[in-house]
Amino acid sequence: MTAAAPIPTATAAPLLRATGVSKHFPITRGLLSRTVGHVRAVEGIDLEIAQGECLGVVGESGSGKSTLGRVILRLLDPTAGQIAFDGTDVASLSPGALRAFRRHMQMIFQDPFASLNPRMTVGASIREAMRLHRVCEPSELDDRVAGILGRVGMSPDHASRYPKAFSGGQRQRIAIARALAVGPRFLVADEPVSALDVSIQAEVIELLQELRRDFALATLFISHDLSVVEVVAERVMVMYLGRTMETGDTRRIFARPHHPYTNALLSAIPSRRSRPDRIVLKGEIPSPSNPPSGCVFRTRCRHALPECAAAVPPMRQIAPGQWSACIRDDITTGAAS
Amino acid sequence: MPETVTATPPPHPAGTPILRIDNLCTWFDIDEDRVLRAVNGVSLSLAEGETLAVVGESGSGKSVTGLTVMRLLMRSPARIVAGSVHFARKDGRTVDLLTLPEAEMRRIRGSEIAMIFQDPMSSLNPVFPVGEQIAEGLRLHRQMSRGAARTRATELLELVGIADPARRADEYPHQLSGGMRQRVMIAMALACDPRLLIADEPTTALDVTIQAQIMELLRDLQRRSRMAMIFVTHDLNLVAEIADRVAVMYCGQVVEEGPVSVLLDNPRHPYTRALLQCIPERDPETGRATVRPIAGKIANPLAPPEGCRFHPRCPHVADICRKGEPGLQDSGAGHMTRCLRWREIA
Repeated sequence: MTAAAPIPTATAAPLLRATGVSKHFPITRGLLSRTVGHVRAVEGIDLEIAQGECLGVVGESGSGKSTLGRVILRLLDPTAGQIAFDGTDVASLSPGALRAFRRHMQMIFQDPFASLNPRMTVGASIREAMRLHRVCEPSELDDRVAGILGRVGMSPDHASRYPKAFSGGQRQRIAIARALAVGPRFLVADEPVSALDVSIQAEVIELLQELRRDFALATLFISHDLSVVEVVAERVMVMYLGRTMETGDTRRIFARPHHPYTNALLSAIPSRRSRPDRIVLKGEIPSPSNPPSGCVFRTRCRHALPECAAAVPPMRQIAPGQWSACIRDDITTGAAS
Repeated sequence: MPETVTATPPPHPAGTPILRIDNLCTWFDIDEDRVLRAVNGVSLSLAEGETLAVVGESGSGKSVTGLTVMRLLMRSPARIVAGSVHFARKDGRTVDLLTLPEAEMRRIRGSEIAMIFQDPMSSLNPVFPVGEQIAEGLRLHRQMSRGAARTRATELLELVGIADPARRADEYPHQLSGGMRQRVMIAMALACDPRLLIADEPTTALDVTIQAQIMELLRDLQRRSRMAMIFVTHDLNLVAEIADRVAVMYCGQVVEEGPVSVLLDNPRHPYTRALLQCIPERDPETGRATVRPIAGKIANPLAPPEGCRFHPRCPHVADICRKGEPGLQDSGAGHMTRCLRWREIA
């Protein structure tokens, strides 16, 4: 999309680099499943993540953030773009090679009950992942399971129990243990704490932070909850209708958002402190099968100009560590305004 | 020093209550010898036009309290062991909802007291157009004709901010987005002009942007009517935006209650304080965002700790907390705290 623009860069040499990644889903109709259009779930996304770094991806439902996570792990094949993981082109790996490669790239989901097999004990689930990726000698498996369970704050004798015996927070710990058991270097966490109570959420956030440090994990942290992303991610990417609206250093962007969409999202977070100048966005996110021309956000943007409809605004650098896809510089936003 | 559980409700700051819950106990029989005391001695009251937020984590009893008021928990395994729920009806009579004949309760439910839930998809009937579902309540409670009910349903959809309401009225729930479905639920709840709305996590499943829209709608609707509202939520930040007063629940009990600004700015109960620290928040000085989890595990509701329910996780625990069960103590200005040590730790 913006070949000339610099890719918003990771703080160190990137472990993962995605360039121009798109994912379109065909809309089919009729007996012969004729393709009558496309849902443009992800459109020309560039991103980089360094070892040990966490990139937060935020946006409303329908922004394409979960699809992006799945495409990057190649759980979905991209329609366009390159995904390079430590020099390997993930997008072109053969099915067999991809399977082996998954050892380096793991995922955790929002609903740990749906992602753990209810008929397998916790130990069996973790062992299966390790056996598949030949992480260790079969004789060592039980010790490794006990070790990783301990690492996520569970007890080794939990290995013989089934997922239903555990609370939501414990199940998320188990899902994290299974993901980490194969020794990944990159983790996609898709709304990992969204279904949890706030006290449990705080525990799981703290655990993920600790593990990320200890294993030098690169993380793509997908969440609709901006306040969680502010805690976990060094850098953040704001998505809307499949595109990046703004990206850069989390602290910088939360303090001085440039893009009107980022500003609206931040201002919608409920707060104990008074916020007299709340921006309430009108309407809902449009359908990704028929996105607005030019800037996709312009139909809900109170600062939209006729020019906004003309062309997709390029991503441009606003400040050190901040890139925004908005053509206007005359809007004052954020806490500093 | 240890006090017994108080059965008397706290003095009400804002006039005659429209709803007064006294010492409510709703228990669930899990099996022959285990009882879950989901709500255990809850007293709350609510004045006309007032919003009371009931805050707590899963299992704290906040939703069960709302469901009990609606009398949706009268059958096994649920059991109302004690308490009363006095409600001031439109005709001026005050009735105990818990002893009312079911036929009379049915006239109140959905008419004088309405409820909205977190998941509108499971509360809407998937095989009827939404307009018809709104009209149903009007025909039942207001004896409106089919045509008049339909017109009113369309007006209500417009009132809750649905564009093109006449067309939307003919659509089915699956054709609407989550935010629109919640608006339909609100339209349905408001159809008969209730005196009390119980909103159980109405925005939890929605995006922040849509949540902000729904909160604005609820505030606006409340300004226009004199409807009282119980807003059940786990989100303490949301509380500040809507409530006049807030009650924090832990393990089936109200542990702290007070005016929203007083309670959030100056929480007295260690649980409320700990819960506030769990919310991701940026330190205004360092600019760093942090969370601080609560020590220990949430109490097992089937075998709650002796003494103060929160004592095993409390950083201020002392011997008295393990023995005596604290009552709610008034710390001034209608601020009630169920902590034996609130003075020392303030």
